[in-house]
Amino acid sequence: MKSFTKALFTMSTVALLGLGVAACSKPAPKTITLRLSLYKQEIAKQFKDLTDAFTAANPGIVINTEITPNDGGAAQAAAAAAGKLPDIIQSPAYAADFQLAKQGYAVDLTNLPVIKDVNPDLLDGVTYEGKIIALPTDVGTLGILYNKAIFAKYNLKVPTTYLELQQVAQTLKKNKITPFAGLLKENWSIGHFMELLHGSMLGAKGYDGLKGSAAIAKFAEDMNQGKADWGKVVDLKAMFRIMDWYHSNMSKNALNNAWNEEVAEFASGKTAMVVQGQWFINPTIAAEKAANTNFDIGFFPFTWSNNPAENKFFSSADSTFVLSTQSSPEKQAAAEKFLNFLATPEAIKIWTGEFKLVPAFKDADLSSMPSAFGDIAASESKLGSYSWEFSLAPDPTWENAMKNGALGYVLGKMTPDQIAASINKSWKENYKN
Amino acid sequence: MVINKWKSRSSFILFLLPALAFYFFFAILPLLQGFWLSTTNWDGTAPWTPAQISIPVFEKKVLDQTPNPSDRALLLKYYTKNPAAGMYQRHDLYGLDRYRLLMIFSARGIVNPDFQNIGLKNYTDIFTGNIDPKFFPQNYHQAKFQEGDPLDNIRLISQDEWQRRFTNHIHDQTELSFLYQAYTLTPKGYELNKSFIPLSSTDIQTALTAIPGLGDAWNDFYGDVTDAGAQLKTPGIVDELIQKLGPVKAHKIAPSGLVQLQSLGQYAYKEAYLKHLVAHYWYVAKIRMGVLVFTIFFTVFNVLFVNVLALLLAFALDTKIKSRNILRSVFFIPNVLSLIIVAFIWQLIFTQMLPKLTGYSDWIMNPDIAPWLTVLVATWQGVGYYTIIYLAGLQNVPQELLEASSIDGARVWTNFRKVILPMMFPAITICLFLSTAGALKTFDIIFALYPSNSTAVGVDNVVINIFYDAFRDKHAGAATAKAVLLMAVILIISGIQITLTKKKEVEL
Amino acid sequence: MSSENSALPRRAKTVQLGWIIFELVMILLAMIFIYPTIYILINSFKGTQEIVVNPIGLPPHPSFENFISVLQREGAGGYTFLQSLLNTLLITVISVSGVILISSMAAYVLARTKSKASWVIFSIFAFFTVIPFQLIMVPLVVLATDLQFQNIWGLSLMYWGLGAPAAVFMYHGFIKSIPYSLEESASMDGASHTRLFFQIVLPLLTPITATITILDILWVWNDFLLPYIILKQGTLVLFQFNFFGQFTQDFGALTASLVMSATPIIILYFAMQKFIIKGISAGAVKG
Repeated sequence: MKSFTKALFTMSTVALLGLGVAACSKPAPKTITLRLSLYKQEIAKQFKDLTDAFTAANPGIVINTEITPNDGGAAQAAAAAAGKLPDIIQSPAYAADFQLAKQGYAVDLTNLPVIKDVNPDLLDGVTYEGKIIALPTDVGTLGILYNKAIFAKYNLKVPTTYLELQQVAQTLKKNKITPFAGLLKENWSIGHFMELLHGSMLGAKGYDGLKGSAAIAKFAEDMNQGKADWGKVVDLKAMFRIMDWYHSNMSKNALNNAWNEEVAEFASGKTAMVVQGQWFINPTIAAEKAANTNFDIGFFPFTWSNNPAENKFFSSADSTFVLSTQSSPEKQAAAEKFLNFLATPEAIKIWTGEFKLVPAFKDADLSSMPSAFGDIAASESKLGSYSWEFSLAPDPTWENAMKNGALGYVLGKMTPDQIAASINKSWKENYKN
Repeated sequence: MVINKWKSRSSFILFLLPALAFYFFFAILPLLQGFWLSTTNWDGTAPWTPAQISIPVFEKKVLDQTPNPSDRALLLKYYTKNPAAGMYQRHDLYGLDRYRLLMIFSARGIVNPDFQNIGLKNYTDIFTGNIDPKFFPQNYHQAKFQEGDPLDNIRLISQDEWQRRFTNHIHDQTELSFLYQAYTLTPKGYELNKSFIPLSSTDIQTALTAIPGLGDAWNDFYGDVTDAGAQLKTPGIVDELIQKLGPVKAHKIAPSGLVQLQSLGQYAYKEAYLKHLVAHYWYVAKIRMGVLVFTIFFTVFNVLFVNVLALLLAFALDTKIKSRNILRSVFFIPNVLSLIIVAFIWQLIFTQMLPKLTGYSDWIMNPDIAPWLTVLVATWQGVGYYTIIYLAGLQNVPQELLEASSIDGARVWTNFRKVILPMMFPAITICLFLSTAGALKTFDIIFALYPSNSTAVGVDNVVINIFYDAFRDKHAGAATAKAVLLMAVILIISGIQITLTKKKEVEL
Repeated sequence: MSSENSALPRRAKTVQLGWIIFELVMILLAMIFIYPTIYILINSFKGTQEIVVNPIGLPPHPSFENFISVLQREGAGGYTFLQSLLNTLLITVISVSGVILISSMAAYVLARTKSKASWVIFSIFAFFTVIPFQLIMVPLVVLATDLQFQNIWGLSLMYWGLGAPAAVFMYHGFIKSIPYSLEESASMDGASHTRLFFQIVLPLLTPITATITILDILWVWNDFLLPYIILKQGTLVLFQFNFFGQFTQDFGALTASLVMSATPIIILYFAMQKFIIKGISAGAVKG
């Protein structure tokens, strides 16, 4: 009897355990959680609305967003080397994306449905060896933002040539208004400007029989092989004369100005113009409210040339999304659903309305954005744009040789020839292939 | 006082193990790996094993050539076949497996060109100077006037400057006479004659566009004349350029227009000529310190100022004044603040307060002042700490000695030299040692005072240079090599300091 | 004027006056010295526009809005000020307590054992002072990702390893100066090593423990580079970069953030002043 009870007891225990295990191992409802890294900190808070909208439309897929800091290069590098890249990586177009593709981390998106909706001018920033390896999501544009009220007050017309720009500046100075707000405490803004000049002049002059963005792209290819000279493909003297002109028309306090100060200078009405990107528009509007100045902002390309047709906006795909090859096929499929979602009107509404960014998709509805954004579309539909030359340069070249070269020049520490030499050297050395 | 044998060996090991283990893992192991990395050309981001590898290559070259079954299992554990992409893709990899995979792949001959062992090449590069020229001192000319700057900047040149820049350096008579034509000597200095170039460059261009018949050709004409002036061609070039103009040949310009053209052309030419001359000669010859010399500069002056000030403060506080303890606390406050906070505070002082206070706004971004500013901020932050040490040292000087020597009639200075200083010797030794090591390794303060623009301004020291080399310029291997050399330098300096002070202590 | 009428001799009075003037001068110097911190404090009560317009003056309409805005601000990584504060507190507590524990134990056996091995191991610990952080910087990043240590716990464990050498060094010197008599009698009474250490020796080490604790708290709390490369964001120090970055907007919040981040450590400092100063002085005197 005892042994029977024992056996019964054992069997029932085993059975119960078995049931328990079976119950526990019953698959829970399948939720795929994707990791997404953002480098644009300014949209971090609102980004949740986008991911929530996506999950609502695609139940079962949850996206967790992480922010990488400005110096995200180091963070991403460590993650990549350890095999821990996020599933969806927000990455600047061009060099950063190409680097990811070259190292084998970027999924080929050429046949993704959403690619057809992207503005074709922006695809060269995400095409590597013939394959599209990232989805451009928004556009960055550099040019001159101006205070419409001041222009109206002194009867100034929006310049279309370099001479007109000089005339505007002269009139402003006669009336004791500083033409340009400046940011020289950090090196990125003056770096942008130097590259804007170089890229635009190169695109206008042409390279190897090509013009415009195609010329810039070919030039970059040659720089990769060490076959081109940054200082010789444009009239360097003329270019730096324009740099000098811009510097001399900048606010005297520019050396102490970082972002906050430049916004304040422009929003307060102390300066009439500022050379910046479209990301400057919304902070200015906010600062205007605080300073109670409330003027309209307009946007026009920096008119470095006396031939109006050559003065185009300096624009490129700004941020893109890369899908990581380190993710499982299941996660990659889920991530692709997210990318396709971005072209839907719902997503675009969030992108323009909440993020205040210009989407990279064709015919996106910009009506919810301030009129300055509309100026971009108007100019580009007529004249086109030049792509961001510095995006094609290797990261260290842009970060060090170009940015510090530009700042060094205005500090009087470097000559144009030295800048060119350091860019040439850095570009060739740091190009990975 | 000391026992010779532990009752149980295990206790020894048990007590020692945690500290030793953590120290080994997080200091020694990285150190050894640092040595290893310094012999590679790793850029800091390149994957050690391929993230993606095509199916045929993986299967033929790697899998098939790996006989060891546990190795094969490892490979297949981390690489998944993705037929749609035609690739094997690698995922989540950490720990020792990373190194095992690395060995497998290098045994198969698949290496990433950005992660190869290059032996001592990093070191030889440093010693042969084949690294960034910004590392070493360089002569440079700080331009006081650039060719595109407005004429207004040079309407008045002081006699001093004229002498120094022009009279002493220009030997070409044509150039000199041009300058004397343009400028007249007045009591205020050399003034640009208003009639020399009566119009601003903008107005010249505007006037050109107004010449009937010239049309769009004005742009190229203006550009050519400016270029000619900047190349210091003779004045006749203006007429030459006019003759070459299409509208002139086509008689599209009236004689009155031609006259206009000539005078405007002359103005533009003269402006370019003048600006080029001035830009060419008006510079200040300076020496850019470079990373190496700046590090030495910073260390020397930081150590000097901190110790002298701390010593003085200690003397001042070691008196009968009543608020002595409070004062000591106040001077120490900057030392408890995070270095980043200290640097940010001073950033605001330099960019907001000082300009408003002094009317002079070029403090923080001024390449000449900037090195001194970093020394100032570092000294401000550190002085309180050393004051405390010196105070403690002072308090160890027996009263009797001080009184004895003053009874002797010894003067204050001799008193100081012969009595106090030797007794303070241990304190001085410690302070010198700590402050030198600290100054050599200063990172946070300079990094936060000059975030991202320290290179352009010229205040990169060796450790900041290493940091940027690794994380911005993507030369992780080379940067680590520099760090190894830095370690050697610190070892040598510490060794020298210790031997010197040991000798001096013996003498005392 | 005859000096016989005054309470003190004339000369002494001049000297006394001299001392008063000297003290006033020193106080003035101290105020000038500490002014930068006061500058930030005053400005944190001004609105952003007010700072731009007049950075030096007193706040025209003092308000706490900057502080509130800092508390509400979600910085990089989604960390708020309070979260960063908590993180830093956690890291500091875990790190410092760990360092104290393992270093005192190790230093004890090293100091009480006279053998070649003991000397060698101690030298290995002491060797750490010459290692510049930059040398182990990149390997530490690699190691952190390998061990998946990019979180508060991992970071604290790294501090154990990095803080042990200095602590062992200091404990070692201190323990050597303690007479062995107490331990001898206790061990003859049959106490085990653990009891010996925790019940008898550790209490004796209180002064040096206090010193090391304070110094390590100051170090870990204010550390920048290691958290930066391992965590990227999340500590109080890293939180400051939210206000000094490329696209920051709120100027007033910047100064408020500095004030709020400095406050905890200042409070700690004033509370532990005596300890800190004693600790530093003691270290100096011993040489």
